[in-house]
Amino acid sequence: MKRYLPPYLLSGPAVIIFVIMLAVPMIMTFMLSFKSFSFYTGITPDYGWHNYLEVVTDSYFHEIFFRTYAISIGVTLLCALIGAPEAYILNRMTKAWRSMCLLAILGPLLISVIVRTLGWALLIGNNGVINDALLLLGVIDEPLRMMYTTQAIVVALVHVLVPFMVLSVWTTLQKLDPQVENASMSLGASHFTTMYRVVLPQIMPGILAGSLIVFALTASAFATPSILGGRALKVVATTAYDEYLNTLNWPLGAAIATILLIANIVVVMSYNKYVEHKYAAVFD
Amino acid sequence: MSFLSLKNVSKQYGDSLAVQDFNLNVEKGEFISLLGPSGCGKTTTLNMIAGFEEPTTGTIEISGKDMTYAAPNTRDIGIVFQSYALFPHMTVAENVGFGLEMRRVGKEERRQRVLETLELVRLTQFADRFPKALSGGQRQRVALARAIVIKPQLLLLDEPLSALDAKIRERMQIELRNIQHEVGVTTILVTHDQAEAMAMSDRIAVMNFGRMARLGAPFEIYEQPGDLFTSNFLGSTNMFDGEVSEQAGDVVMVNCSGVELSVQGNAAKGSKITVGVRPEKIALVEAGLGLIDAKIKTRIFMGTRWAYQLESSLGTLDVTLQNAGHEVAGEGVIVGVTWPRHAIRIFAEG
Ligand SMILES: Nc1ncnc2c1ncn2[C@@H]1O[C@H](COP(=O)(O)OP(=O)(O)OP(=O)(O)O)[C@@H](O)[C@H]1O
Ligand SMILES: [Mg+2]
Repeated sequence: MKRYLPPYLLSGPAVIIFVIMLAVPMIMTFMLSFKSFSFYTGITPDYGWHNYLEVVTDSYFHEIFFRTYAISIGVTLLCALIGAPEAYILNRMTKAWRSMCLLAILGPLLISVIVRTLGWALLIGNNGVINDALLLLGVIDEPLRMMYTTQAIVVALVHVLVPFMVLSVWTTLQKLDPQVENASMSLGASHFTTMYRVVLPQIMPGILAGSLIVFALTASAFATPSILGGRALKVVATTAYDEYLNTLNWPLGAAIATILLIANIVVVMSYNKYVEHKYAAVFD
Repeated sequence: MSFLSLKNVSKQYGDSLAVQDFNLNVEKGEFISLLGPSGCGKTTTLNMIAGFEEPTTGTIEISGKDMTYAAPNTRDIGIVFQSYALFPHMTVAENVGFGLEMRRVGKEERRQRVLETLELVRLTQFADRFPKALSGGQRQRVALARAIVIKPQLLLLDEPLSALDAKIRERMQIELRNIQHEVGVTTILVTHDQAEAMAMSDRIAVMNFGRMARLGAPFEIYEQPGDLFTSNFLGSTNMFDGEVSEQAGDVVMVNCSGVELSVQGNAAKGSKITVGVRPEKIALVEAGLGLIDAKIKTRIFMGTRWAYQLESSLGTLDVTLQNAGHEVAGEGVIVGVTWPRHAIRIFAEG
């Protein structure tokens, strides 16, 4: 019996921090989501499903959830399309170039999300660098509207999240036997066929793992959509925030947050299951 | 005209020469080994033949056509890589069929040929497995099947057996040789194992520091290695430094540490030379009846043979004797040592 004790004791401090910092607030949020709210009485403890019902039935929320997941899928696809080739090229570079490029790719992660997003705002605003330059050059007559668009959110999110894809794909590339490409070529395959039939399937697990990270981070992203999307283009995270701090309807905000969490968990888990099932026979 | 010829091929990496002035002509259907110590440029040579690397200077011709800079996918060469380089996401059958698919061979014929080749390497029952679920020897055979199913003009093998243990390796050597005979494909094998090279090749090219040291049939280069490096690399050699004391016809007398040895060959009187004799050429006789006497320092039983180390006035002598089934002289005994005159060779003069 005794030898079972040390592992528990050793993981004890971490478990306590985990419980206090994560489990307790989550359970409280979950409880809160069943309470009621009105402007006159504030939050009252008559429990029920009404908050959930509101989210599920109101088309206002449908649109927000739809937008969130559309953005998530778009960002994930773009990250895969940009990140996978980027990782492949990175892997082929000489050491010196690779460190430099790696720094450039990981750069966005070193800057606070707020600062980085405000940087995008400076760039794409109506009086931003891009519009000023285009006006000056006479390419356009009036500023292009780029702020407060879905595209702006997507571009900025891709910028931040692509490093996760690159790192994830790069890890799988390290395990790739460089001779495998030569083998394919010597068997008569072209460069393109080698890429498509030999390299891509082997780095697919990395792309899928990276997609998972990017998708989850996009679906719960807050700062970027709130700055670049503004009031008009709400996503789930910004909606929950608004319910808490503007409407002061905490229970409804809690319900939205809970639904987002559960939806993300369901997506991530089923995706994981699919990937594991698909590649169990092929890779260790 | 040779099937494959490398003419004055050199490869430079930075300021180091990996391969220097390499010349080799390979005939159709021949089995050639590139043999040499680690880092002597074997893989580099193979990569240039395959088209993965371009020579710095020199030309490579296949069937009389200059292919020095041709892309790998136009050379029609089957390669078995040291790491096998199987496609892990494809089954054994898909791996083997890949080259045929690239050649646009129809589905039915493809299936047929994959099956035939898998039969040849005796892997039929593993057709639907992924490489991950195969043993080292099985993977090696998949790699081989993948390379020969396309019926290439040329088969390149880069240390294909080095990852296997001694027993499987021996079996695979025989199998590989049989398959090569059956298919009749021109083959170049890279190895640093001299026994493997000798067991399998029609001819061996011994390489050292990027240069060809010796080229010839296994028996020929073993018996007449030409230089010390080749002699030592192909098998151990007892070496004695001496001075030519007399010359008569094609026999010279060499004084090695006070012992007069008669050696077949030519060398000017008074010149300093090295002579060598292989351990298995030496016979042990009764003390006083041999060329010199020696004391047995160690005697090791190796199953098929005995390995001796003797102490003599020529220095330490390595001797191997066939195990003929009866006890032989043991440690501490003084014995006579002798060898036929033609067994001792002259190396580098001066
Ligand atoms: N890409 C490269 N860049 C620089 N030097 C290289 C490169 N490839 C090989 N070399 C050098 O060229 C020489 C020959 O290498 P090669 O791989 O041909 O040796 P090898 O005979 O195959 O050795 P081994 O038996 O260990 O495989 C070595 O000294 C090696 O360090
Ligand atoms: Mg090598």
